[in-house]
Amino acid sequence: MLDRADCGNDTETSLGGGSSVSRRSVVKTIVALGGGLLLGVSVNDMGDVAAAESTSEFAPNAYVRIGRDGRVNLIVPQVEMGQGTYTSLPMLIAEELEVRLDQVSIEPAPANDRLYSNPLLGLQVTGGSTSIRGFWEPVSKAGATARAMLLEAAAATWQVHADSCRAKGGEIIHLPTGRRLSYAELADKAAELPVPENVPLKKPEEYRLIGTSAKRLDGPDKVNGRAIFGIDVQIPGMKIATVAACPILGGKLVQVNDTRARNIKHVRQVVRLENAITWARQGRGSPLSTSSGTPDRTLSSRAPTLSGNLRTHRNRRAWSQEEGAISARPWLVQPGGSRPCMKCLCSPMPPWSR
Amino acid sequence: MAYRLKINGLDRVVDVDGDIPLLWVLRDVLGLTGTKFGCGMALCGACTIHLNGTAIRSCITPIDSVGAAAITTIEAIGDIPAGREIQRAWLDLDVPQCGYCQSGQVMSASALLAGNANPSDEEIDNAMSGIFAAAEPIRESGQRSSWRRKPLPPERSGVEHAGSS
Repeated sequence: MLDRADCGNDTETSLGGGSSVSRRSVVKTIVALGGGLLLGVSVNDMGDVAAAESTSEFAPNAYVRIGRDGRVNLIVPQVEMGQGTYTSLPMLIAEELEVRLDQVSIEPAPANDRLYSNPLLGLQVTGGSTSIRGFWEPVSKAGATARAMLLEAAAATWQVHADSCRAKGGEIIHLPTGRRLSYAELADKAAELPVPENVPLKKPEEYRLIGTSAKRLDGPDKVNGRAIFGIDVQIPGMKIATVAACPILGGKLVQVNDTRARNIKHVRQVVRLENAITWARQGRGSPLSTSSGTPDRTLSSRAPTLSGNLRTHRNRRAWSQEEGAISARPWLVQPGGSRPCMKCLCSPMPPWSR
Repeated sequence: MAYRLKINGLDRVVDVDGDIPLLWVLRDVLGLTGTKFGCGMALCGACTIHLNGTAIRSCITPIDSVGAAAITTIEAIGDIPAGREIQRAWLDLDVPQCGYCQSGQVMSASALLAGNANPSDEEIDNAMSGIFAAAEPIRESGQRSSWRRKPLPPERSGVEHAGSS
């Protein structure tokens, strides 16, 4: 990626509690693989302005890409946890960029604190109700800047003044003649233009999306099984560890005999933690052990139990491509040790189920 | 050992031990990760799938007990009318938040609706009570009424609007 141009402006961002810090956002175009317009937007404390403006140190908090297909991709470090970030952040960009909400999608940024920090927290963290507070200004700025560049690109194509053009619904319209060019058609040309400075953001009375209740963009994939959660991620060479934690709060691991566990094919490692054991296996698939292969362990507790004995359950599932087994052996745990106990009954199931 | 399974209308052969739960065959062998692991003990319902149209917990269903039964997972639930209805209702009401439990929710509700086009509130509660969900209040607030294919009686239509607004 090559930095082409930049602009910046100072803003006062009010943080919760009334304190205020000066921040400066910097928007730069970046040569996008596969064409289109790619803007990186960086927010820094005032003290870091020099660093932010230095090409080598330009570390965007987020990227906005307008592809040759007209799709708008917002690449942000924030994660969707049900709080709606994958809908609210697209609303910010769609508002300023004058596209429909369904034209925007989000790509999760890879893990990298330096490149993708939360502007308010300084780390790649989602939490503390900071997603909107932290990204409002930079994402809006990126959207407004991109819109201005697309307007310029259209005006240059038609050889008219940009003031006679409007952005609407993912198109630039030349008002006097009604001519239209889509963002898809303009993205490459816009990427060649210098980045304008201090593009004004919309006034609240001009909002058409912000302040409305939008349907969640992540909804469809969550009712058809396509949404990818942490447990669904597969990485080449990935190994999966199962944790057997002490079932009593405050319990400590006393000893482990991992001989049998280590003898199971594909078990790579048995790790002793202060209050737990983990064992990792190679291969695609779930964490595993067999009932005979679970490390024998003694977990002691100095903590009082709730009603004499605290019963807990561990379902230790086992699988590999070559072999596998399932164990559902609950524990009866007493202070000072553990031993297997009776099998737990499952929850009552409705009659039409099983 | 090789097992021939009928999954989402396709014949699939898997070579695994017989006591592996169906859940892990779906997720790890066949890559159908829409079905979720939650508790592994049939307590939470995240792993719910259909076996011959009946909602079951795949996490405690050994693969050797499946036989020739037709398996339907969340990936294909939109292919049956009740599944489509539920998906539509879920999106109309913007049900999913985190969404982790939603596969199980949709599968449980679809099985109910496939066998009972107009379930009572009690039947819905019974059907869905096996699902642990952080977003439980949403169900209470109006999902139930929107499931029914038939129009609601006039005196109850306000409930639906309250839930879907």
